[in-house]
Amino acid sequence: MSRNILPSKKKIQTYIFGSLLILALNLISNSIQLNEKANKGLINLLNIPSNFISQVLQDYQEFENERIAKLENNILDLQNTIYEKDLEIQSLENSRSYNPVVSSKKFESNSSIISFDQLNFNCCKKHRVYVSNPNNIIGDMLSVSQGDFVIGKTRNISDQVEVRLLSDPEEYISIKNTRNFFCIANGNGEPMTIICKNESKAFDYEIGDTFFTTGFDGIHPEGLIVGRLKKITTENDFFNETLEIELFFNPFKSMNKRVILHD
Amino acid sequence: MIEATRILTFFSLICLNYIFLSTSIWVWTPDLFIAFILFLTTLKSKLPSTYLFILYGFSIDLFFSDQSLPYTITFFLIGAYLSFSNIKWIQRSLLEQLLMIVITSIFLNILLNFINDYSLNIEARIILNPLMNALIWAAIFMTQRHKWLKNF
Repeated sequence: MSRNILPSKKKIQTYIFGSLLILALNLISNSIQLNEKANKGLINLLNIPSNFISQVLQDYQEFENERIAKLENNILDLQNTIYEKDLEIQSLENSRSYNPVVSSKKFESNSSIISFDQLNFNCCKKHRVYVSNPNNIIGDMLSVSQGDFVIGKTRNISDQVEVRLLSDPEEYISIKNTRNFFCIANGNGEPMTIICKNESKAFDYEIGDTFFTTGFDGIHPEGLIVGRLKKITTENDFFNETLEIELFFNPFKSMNKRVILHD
Repeated sequence: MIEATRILTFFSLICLNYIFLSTSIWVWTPDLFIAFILFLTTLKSKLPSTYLFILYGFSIDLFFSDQSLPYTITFFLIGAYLSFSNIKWIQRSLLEQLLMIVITSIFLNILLNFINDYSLNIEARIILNPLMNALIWAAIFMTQRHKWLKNF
């Protein structure tokens, strides 16, 4: 198991020669700056493959980024298509018993919702969305819808169009249901809700009824879908009732989706 | 291990060490050259001469040190210790081996710090590196011990 023991003389000899060798090597390398040259040589040697690898990685990353961007665009297109088809389905569902011809000049441009004042929508009474205006449409007050669903009316038209939502307290709209109950509804500042008071003592409505535009206000064309009756509240005098209508248009789901401006 | 393979491995370790140094993970990694020497002691029945150890150390210093001293001196001491001892390295107790590795690693890192001006956190390496080297040896010891016992 044990190894051959070196004689002490040999050990001392090795120590002396070893130390001298180290000294000599160090002196030589210092005199011709061998360390610096070797270091530079190694850097140069390894720089070539590292440059190549980083170039390949960069190219691959660019290729992947392009692919991801393309896929994201495809997903966005598909999401838009699904959204529009959903709108059509909802529109058909709500128009089963009522099928008016929406007769108005539509600016079926590429306008889409570009921003939404979420803060005011949730907390306060200023309910606005902003729509792009790629075709430079001009006009004073236009009805805006998404498919057959009313969004609101335009206010300021410039390179972008400010649209006041139906839920804004300053916004009024003439609506009716399929049983020919008519009323003027306005927003109450609550998101996605409008109210109308029934002062005619007629009771031709029930929870779940769909309401449409009448076209009487001269801005919204007739037959656009507004919302569904959600709640009926009886006033203190037992004659008047307040109808709470839930709007179909949801700004949270509508970002970057196309809209129609009706003249 | 034939000579060509050993030289090739040695050069690959130099390249790897350069990558570790340039990416700053060198602070956290075990010393590749100490690990190389440890492998050499377990794989080769006859150890290379002390002078060859000096040359190994000198080659490493050429690439990674401002002066050809830290690895050269350390490897010389390792070579002398391995050549002059009465029993083989693998026959020593694990505790003794670990202790030697830790002391050698601390000595080497202090020399490296003294001679070179690293921008890296060398203080952390002085503490971590001996532990990492000891860990590497413990792993080699645990996995290879049965083979050494067979050979005896």
